[in-house]
Amino acid sequence: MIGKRTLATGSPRPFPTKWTVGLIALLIGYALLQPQLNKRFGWQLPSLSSLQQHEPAIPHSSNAATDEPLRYGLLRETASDDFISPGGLRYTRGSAEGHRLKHLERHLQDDPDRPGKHGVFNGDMPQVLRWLDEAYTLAKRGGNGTKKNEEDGRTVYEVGFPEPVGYIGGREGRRDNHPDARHIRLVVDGNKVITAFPF
Amino acid sequence: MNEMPPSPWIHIGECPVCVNGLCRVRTCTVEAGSAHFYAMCDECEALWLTPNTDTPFSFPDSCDPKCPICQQDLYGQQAHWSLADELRGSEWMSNAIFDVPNLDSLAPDSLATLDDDTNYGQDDSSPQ
Repeated sequence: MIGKRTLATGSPRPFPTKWTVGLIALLIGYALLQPQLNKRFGWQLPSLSSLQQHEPAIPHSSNAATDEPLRYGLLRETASDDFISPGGLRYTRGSAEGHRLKHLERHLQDDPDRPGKHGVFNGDMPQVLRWLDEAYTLAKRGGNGTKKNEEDGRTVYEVGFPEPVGYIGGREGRRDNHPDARHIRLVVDGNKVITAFPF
Repeated sequence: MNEMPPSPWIHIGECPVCVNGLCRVRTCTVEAGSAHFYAMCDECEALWLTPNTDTPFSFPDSCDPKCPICQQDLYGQQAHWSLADELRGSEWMSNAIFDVPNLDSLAPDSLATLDDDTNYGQDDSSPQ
């Protein structure tokens, strides 16, 4: 005897409420723990916002084209290996790493053997690029919590943030138990980024 | 173009411009084979021709950076972060700071003691 079928094949079953609640709890937990885990273990877990877009981590060489996807979801390539952010910062070839974006990536993880301090950002590249745009905008406006120093064509901006944007690594940071960093120092030549790091 | 820092870290102190940068000694070689040295901040690229950050500094062109001494490509194949042996007999050998990496196994207290000891490593062979 065949019993009554309980599995409907024509219409999807509603997602159980307890699963929905569990999933939301997991996401909230991840969002809260991600910066702490990166700081504690030197991992590079992506933020939730960056998971919404998949971007290669290394800049590539290509001809500029308006229909190309934005690098890190933010940067438009205006010429080969020449990127501009929504806030007007340019990222070009340069530095010992070969490209300013590659140099910035050095500040996504600690360098515990480095003498002195090494500023390490809490977030991933999309988050860092958004912070740099914010810092650049605030610094050019000259608001509270910002400083500007010009040296032989280079401009050094310092911008304070209400929340930690990273931590202090390197030997000195390790010695001090990796204190939070609530400022960003941004060095530019005009609008071309030379370096940036939290301190 | 990618360069991994050799051991030890050879520098002349923290950068007075960007504060967190390390003014590391670089070696550049001309075709004849003779080497010359300068210091460059590994963050903001400030350049020093003498091993003292209190002396005047300059910045390279950010689009076309050149060696401040021979005007070759600043990041060309002929230039790199200095190795200790290359500095022998130069004023950089006696004035630069040689920071030994890979001290992870040392406790923070021990590390502080070592950093405060100006004679540390002076009698030892290079840890490389």
